[in-house]
Amino acid sequence: MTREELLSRKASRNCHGQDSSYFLGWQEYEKNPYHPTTNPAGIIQMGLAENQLSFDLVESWLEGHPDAGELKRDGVSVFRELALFQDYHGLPAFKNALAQLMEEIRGNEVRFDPAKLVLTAGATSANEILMFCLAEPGEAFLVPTPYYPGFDRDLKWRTGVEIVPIRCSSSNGFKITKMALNAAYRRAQKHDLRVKGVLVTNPSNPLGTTMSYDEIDTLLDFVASKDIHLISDEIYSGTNFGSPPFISMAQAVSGRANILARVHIVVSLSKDLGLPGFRVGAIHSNNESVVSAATKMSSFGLISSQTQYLLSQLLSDKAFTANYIRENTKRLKRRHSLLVKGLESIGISCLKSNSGLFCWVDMRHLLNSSTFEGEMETWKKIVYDVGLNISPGSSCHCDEPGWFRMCFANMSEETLHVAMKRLKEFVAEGNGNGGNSCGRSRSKSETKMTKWVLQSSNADATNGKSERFIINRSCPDALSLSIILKSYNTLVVVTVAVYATPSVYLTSTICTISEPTSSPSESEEIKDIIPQMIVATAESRERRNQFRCDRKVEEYEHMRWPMPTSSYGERFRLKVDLKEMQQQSALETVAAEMETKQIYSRSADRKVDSGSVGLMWKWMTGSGYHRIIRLKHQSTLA
Amino acid sequence: MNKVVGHRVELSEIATSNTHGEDSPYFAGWKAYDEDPYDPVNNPSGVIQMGLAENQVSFDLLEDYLEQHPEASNWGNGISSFRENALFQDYHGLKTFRKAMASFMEQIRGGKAKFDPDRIVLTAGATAANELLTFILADPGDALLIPTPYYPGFDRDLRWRTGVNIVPIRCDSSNGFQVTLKALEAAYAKAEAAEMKVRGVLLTNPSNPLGTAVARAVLEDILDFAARKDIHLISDEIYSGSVFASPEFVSVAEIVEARGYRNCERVHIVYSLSKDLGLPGFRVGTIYSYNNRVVTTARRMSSFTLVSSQTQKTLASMLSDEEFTKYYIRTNRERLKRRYEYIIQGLERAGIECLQGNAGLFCWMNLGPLLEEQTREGELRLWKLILHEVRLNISPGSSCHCSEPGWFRVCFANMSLHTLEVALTRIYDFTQKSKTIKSLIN
Repeated sequence: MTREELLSRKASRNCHGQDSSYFLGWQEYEKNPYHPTTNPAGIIQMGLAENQLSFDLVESWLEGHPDAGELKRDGVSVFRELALFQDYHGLPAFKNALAQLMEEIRGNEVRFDPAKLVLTAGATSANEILMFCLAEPGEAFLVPTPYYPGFDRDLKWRTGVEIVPIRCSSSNGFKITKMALNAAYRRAQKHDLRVKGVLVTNPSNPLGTTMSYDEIDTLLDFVASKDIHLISDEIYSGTNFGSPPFISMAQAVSGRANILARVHIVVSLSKDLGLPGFRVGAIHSNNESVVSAATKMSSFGLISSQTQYLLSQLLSDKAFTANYIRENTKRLKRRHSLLVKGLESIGISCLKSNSGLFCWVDMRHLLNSSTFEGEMETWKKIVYDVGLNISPGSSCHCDEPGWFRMCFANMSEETLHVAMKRLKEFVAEGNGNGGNSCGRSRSKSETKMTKWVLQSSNADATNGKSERFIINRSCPDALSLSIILKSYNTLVVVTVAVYATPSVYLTSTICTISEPTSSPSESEEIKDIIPQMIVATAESRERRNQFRCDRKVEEYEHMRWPMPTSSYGERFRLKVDLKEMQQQSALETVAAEMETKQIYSRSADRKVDSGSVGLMWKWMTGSGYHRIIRLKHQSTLA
Repeated sequence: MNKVVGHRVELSEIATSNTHGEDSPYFAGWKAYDEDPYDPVNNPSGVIQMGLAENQVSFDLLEDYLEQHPEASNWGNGISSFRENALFQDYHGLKTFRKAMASFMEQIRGGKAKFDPDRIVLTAGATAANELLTFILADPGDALLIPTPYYPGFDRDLRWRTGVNIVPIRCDSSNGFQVTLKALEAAYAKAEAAEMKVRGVLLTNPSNPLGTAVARAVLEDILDFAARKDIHLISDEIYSGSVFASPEFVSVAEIVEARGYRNCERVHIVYSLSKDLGLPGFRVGTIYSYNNRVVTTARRMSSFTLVSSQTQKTLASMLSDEEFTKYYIRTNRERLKRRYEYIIQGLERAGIECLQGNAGLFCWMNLGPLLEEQTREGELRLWKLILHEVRLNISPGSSCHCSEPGWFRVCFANMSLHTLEVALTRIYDFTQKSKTIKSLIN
């Protein structure tokens, strides 16, 4: 047995996601943290959704109530009873107080029964427990993008559950639509993933927005029609500082008896009260079986009784909670507007938001190319040169490059001013200016592309004239390869996913086209590129030993072409069998294919041969999360 | 109609399975106790809880400490210390606390083993520590070998969510339930025959429910076995500070050091403050691994089960006070020893023998002679009789997967001496009555 084999697959796998840019930025910050006097040139941490604005309120309460901290009641020690208290039902006094706080935060418009609450060591654990309760390994939950990067760990790592993204876009303020829900559902089905539910964060992390009644209705209708669960992660419910007011799923579902038992709410005191260290999370569910199973599972992550006691005292003080909620949201609102106005003054806008500890910032115009590579480029500049650790949208699985999450409540107002000043200088220096601004005003005639050209990735930054990309943004374990064909007025995503049976044989390939293409010639070209992608994807899987690919495209039964408009956004199953084909001949086939299609490498005079195709694959399948291959329009090479 | 059916099928198998084991007699007895708990004044005929391995004999020491050091449980005058503490969610844990834990673990082992604070991974209790290690060391369908009798909670902790199997290493009274090479090989072969990949051996040392520390030679054999099979050894040492009599406790850490850390990457120790310090409510467990990758992965996984920073702070302060910890360890041992001797003598008077123990909060009692038939059913009938007639909740050996009927685990540290006296009187009366009945029948 090798050393690798000594550990489980979960231990060896990378699904905890802690090597992503989200966490890398943190590491950079830790190496060189900003301090106003001792390290004024250090990195300012804007990637941490902490609430430090209202500590003084809790502190002054503690000063007035020393018993709570000192494990006393009316001056007498309660240490003995707390030390032994390990009932997984939790301290009744704490559960009652928590239920009341949840009601108060929701404007007392809904009741929470403490008997339906399950206490967990933080929302991290609450979400994982719900996954364990609701889905089998290999089943899926739909999660709207962009989403909290930690979900890749929390929901998937130990449970074996898959996340299928509900793709939201800036065109409607990243709102969840019926179409996006259905598309995600179908995508899961096409992957043979059984969908067990939808998980939303409301208020949203990273958007900082709350869901409207319409959005919630759409979601609840969807959940009802598909007979699946809904997890509403409401850990930011107490941070709703502006209108429209936050609507809890508990309120929205109250009139819908048919799905009452399928809606589960997750709360926590980490954000609303700013106490992440105390590890207090909870699940509220109307489903008795879920409450019962989750309570038993909470044995794996109970809350310290000492902490339960302290918080039961704190939260039962109604005068305190009322004042805290009011004052905290007031302060958040002020902070939020400081950041929004600061960004505005330097020509950066944010998604309009009303909650959370962060803004969703639109820096698309600062990117040298509107690609995820361009996003990483800008992100690195902001971390290393500007000295701000912010979170790139890609770490939140955002589908559009150029969005960033900036936190505003984990620092002093002075530090926030310093951050704004730095960013202002960065923008004034002309960074990113001229990025793709010319691209946006391109005339329509120029979008009629006839041929794609494959270009080796890191050869050259794009000049912004046209952008065609092959992107594999998925985690190394995912079985898909996508190309995003972005012209000036359309965004076309072609995804090829290769499927393997459990016995590791390649079985079939699935292809997605996200949107109608603008011209027949464009769709012809997409059609042409698909076979190459299939082979490339299959090869890359094999290289990672995910299954044995016998490398032969024996049968390639074509999809209907051109696709009927109604089917866009769907996946099309292509029957492909890659048996008995030698690697070299596969390379040659693709090379020939590219030759025929006049697809050239970056150096226009060099023809594509199997060697360069091999290089391309090697690069594409190399380590790292972002593997991008540029496709350039032939005319731009001239 | 659809709805009802839907509700049945829509939850996961884990949620609906019985692997959590809470329907076993071990937990059923707790419920009976909860419904009618003994109280010397208000309910003198109630059920006495002897199924709960809690340590209540040394609380006063901790209380005194907290009384003298109010800053341990509060944030003192420094306002910023609350802020810092409330925000602290680094999964590495408070450095001061990890250092204090490492040093406490060394003290318990009489300084015969060294612990590096950077290898300490904190978890919310040993329950989570054991599950975490199982997730890290085994894949669903793989097996861990565990000597019987074992802690009933393992069925939940190790199997429920991980999908890992437990294959028992069958031990019996003929050699005082010690693990033998033959039993290890037999268990291994059994797992292989069932096409399970064996990933490790899990040992509780000192043993729960036996109340005995594993002999050095046996420990060496088990480690050699693990090396030979290229599998892991998890040593659950949560009772290591509760060894009150000779032979002395030998931690696997000592053996690892004695062997110059050869093969140490397969050795992992689980510890907790629930038993030795009597703080189950505070949820403090730890994994100590000699394997770097296990340390890194366990730390990442500990995000699901972190220890409250408030509690870390309190205990960091308490356990950093070496004068206090030394006094505590010594006094707690003396008190446990006295308790143990008291119960053993009481049971002897009632004509009951126990396995010779030297650790833990319980003794392993042989009621075989009282069984009507030497089967699991016979054992459970006697257990019910004791629960409902004698009004004592003890744990039947079968709930610990003991292969011989008639053994019971009896806890002695979770009650006052007076309550223990009442319990022993009840047992005495019961055995006397049984004798009389038997002689009448004969």
